[in-house]
Amino acid sequence: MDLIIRNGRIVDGTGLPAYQGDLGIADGRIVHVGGRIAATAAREIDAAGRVVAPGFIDPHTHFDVQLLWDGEARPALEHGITTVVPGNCSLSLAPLKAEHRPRLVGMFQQIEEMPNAAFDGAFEWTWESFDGYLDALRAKLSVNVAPLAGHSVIRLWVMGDAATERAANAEELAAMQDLLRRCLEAGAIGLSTSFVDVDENLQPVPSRYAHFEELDALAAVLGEYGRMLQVVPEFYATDITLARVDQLAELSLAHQIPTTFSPLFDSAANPDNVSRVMARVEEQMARGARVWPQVQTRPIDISFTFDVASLLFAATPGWYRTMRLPREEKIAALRDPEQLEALIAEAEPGGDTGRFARVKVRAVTRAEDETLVGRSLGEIAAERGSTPARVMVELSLANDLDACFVATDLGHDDPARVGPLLAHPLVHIGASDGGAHIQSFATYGDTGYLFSRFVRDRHDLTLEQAVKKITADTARIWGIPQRGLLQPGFAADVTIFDAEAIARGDEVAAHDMPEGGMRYVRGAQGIDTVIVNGAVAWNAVDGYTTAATGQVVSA
Amino acid sequence: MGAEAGSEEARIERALVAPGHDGSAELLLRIRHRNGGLDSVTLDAQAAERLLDHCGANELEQLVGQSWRHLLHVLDETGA
Amino acid sequence: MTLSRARAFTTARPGEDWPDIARRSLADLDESAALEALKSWNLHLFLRQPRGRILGCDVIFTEPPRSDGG
Repeated sequence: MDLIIRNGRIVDGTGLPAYQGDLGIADGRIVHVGGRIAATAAREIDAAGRVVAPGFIDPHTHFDVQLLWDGEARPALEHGITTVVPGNCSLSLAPLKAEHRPRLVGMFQQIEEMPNAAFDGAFEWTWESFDGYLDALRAKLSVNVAPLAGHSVIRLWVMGDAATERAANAEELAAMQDLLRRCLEAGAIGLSTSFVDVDENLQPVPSRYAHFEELDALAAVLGEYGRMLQVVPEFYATDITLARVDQLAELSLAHQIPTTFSPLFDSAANPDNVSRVMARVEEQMARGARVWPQVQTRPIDISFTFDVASLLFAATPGWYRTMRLPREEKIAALRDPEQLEALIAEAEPGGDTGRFARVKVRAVTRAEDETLVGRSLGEIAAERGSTPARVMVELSLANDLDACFVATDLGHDDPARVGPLLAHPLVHIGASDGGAHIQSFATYGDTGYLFSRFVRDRHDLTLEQAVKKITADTARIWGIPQRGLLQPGFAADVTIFDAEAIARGDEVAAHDMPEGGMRYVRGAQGIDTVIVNGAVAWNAVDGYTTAATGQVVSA
Repeated sequence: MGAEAGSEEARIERALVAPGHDGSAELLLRIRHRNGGLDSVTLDAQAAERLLDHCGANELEQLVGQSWRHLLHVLDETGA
Repeated sequence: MTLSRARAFTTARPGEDWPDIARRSLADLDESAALEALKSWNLHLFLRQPRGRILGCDVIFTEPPRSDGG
């Protein structure tokens, strides 16, 4: 054996109770799970007191570009993610003709908020075809990649500019089917499409111009391979989402394919959204359709500056009126002592400073305020003998209205509703959006949050159920063979962690994008070792290794 | 002003701030149709401002009871 | 297995505009009333630029939201 993990608490992905045992690995495969292994191996890991689980699978990411210079999909891998699914939301980096690259870059920038430098010099475009892209990836992968082919780029390849003008004709439909077939042959795990995404000019992405007949024709090709259709529905409107569930069910039944839509989330503003959508999913699943709603674990945070009138202030009309003033009038109002006192009195009536106390400073432009980033207004106010609302105004004025704040846990934030939803047998835990929205919020650490919040704190899921949800269930839903379980013959993707400590770290700004570009990230807590195809890819002592044993995995 | 029972027009019944998927705050409007059915639409911050302007409203609460037709003006340059 | 009744919707056929959809979906109404009804039921398509443009993938409701919340 190449690697033996001893004395671990084995949570094998089946959902069955954990048990004490050893796990042996040879040639990238699991060769033994369970009883004590008498033999020795070149490398051994003592996992006493730790959980030994299958590597986690993240089914909704946008790591397409990042993977070209960062085969680890940092920091996803250190959170225990051993397989990522990029190419969601109709956008993938292939198939793509050279002439269409600028258009795709615009779309990716809109979704990922990836800086220009990422496309200019961080990698070389060496491909047009899907297999060419996979070849470019394979050279340095540390994480496994199960890539989707994007409907928008397939449409762009076949129709050119007409992809954002009209319906496809019969000849174009056949060409798209043929192109999708080639992507699937090359290793695409399925097709992604979007009903909501826009490009950098806020114009609909090409997939939105496709009529249902086109989607049906492409789903027919997916049916030839039994592969996944992923869609982004109009998640903000329940009735439209219900219609999408029905459309997906129709496609699933007609072509015998799995489908998934993401995201589905809960909010106090639309409290019956989840129950209505899940009721429809249950009906359709009972008919034999496969329509998997993806639900994220993390709550939604909202960022704002004083430069734009955020609706967050709508609950305090005086503030909202002030925020809606033209810039110079707004600054004058905030500097006027009388008006300021009126605003403070409205936000903190009777000295109750709760409204903004938990709001955190996210970014500043003034160097001397940098130390405040990541801290709450309540903390800063306590230090200064001030109040959170006053501190927020002072910081905004000092930073030319560009100080950015974040109000945390404002949506999908009621654990008593989200916990049972995550535990629902028809809910697919996902929708992390890893690698997207990188300058708005961190899309990493959702798995840690699942364990810390919903297993350890609330007991909505057992440890075994939670592991199953993000390993074996994901592999089964997506048809990823021989992954997601600790079982002899399966690929040796293993995450070793401390069940009492696993969590997501605080959100911090990092400047690790090409040419120092900024993004928000979260580190991992409680993860010990991450093994990909039998080799240690990351551990808590040494960090990332040079193993580079990631693979392109397909159905 | 609440939505009138038996009204011919669909009217805004509730105006709520909701979290957007992209980390921004959005305005969720619940609209009661004359058959009693409840619909919802979402506006971004700028569109919400234009709707407030068009309705002559200073606060979200003042949108309650307004006709759905006002919503058709949120794409206007000024909202007015 | 029979599905519970859901809010009726359609999608546009290639080349169809709102009058076409009104004629095939709301044949009982005169055209202007049908167009007004479609507009009020499909605000999601009239709250984006350009106003009321129909894309191939769009869900177009052909009745108001169901009063039973279904």
